[in-house]
Amino acid sequence: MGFIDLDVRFKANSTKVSELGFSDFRSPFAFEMARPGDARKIPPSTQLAAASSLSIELLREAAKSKRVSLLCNRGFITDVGLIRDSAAQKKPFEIPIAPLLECGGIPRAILMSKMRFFIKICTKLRAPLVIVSQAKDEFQLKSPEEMIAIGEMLGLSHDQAEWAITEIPEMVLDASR
Amino acid sequence: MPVVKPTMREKHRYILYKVEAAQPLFEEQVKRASYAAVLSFLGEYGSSLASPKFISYDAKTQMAILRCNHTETQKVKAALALCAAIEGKKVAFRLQKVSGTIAGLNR
Repeated sequence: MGFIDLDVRFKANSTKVSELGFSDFRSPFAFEMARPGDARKIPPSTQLAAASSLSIELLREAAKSKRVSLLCNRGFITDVGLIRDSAAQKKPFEIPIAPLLECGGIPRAILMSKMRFFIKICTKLRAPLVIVSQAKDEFQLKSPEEMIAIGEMLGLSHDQAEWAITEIPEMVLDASR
Repeated sequence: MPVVKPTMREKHRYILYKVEAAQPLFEEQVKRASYAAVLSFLGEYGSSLASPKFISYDAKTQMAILRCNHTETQKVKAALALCAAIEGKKVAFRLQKVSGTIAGLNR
């Protein structure tokens, strides 16, 4: 089973990504849900779409949309209804590494605390999670080993962190084909 | 006569990582950044448990070695992975290998 980074946000060099240890990577159609009905604006030809929002209602709508493959809860607001929807629809939440790299000190500690609580509830309610880099440049790309180590710091077990970059991305790609 | 039995000694892990930066860096800069990354991520208490020790940096190959306590290896790996800049310049620490001995890193 190969490692897959499902959300790289720049034109990455495939040799560089494979050097890091990934077998595959994707740059999804990432869009911000601003108002209800935005999910319908995704072009039907899009293979992989990542919906991101700070609003729980909009994310619940995205979870029910067939065109959306990944959910990005940017504020890591823990809402049991949303997490149950995600688990029922098998739409994984993104756990991005880039926001952790862009801040430090207390803001990073606060973000990690929010992520840890969100992951804890997702694990409890069996909602799928994918660890993604959301890298905007080469320096923000991380190797699978590093992603697993960061996942473990966020409360996942070693196996869960490994699943979040192998099995679950594979499942997402299979569903989007 | 050894002071402690071999089974009672602290077990270490050596982490080999590559320092990717736009400009070449000196050993002192890498050393300071590595310690700062561990300290900012784990705090003083966590760092005391991890007991990091910078071993070496080869400017030619850009490979550095950091030693830590074996129980805290994953935490130190995460701390190094989350280091994004040295003196305002973008860098990335790419983990290569973890071993119980320095010789093991070269195998």
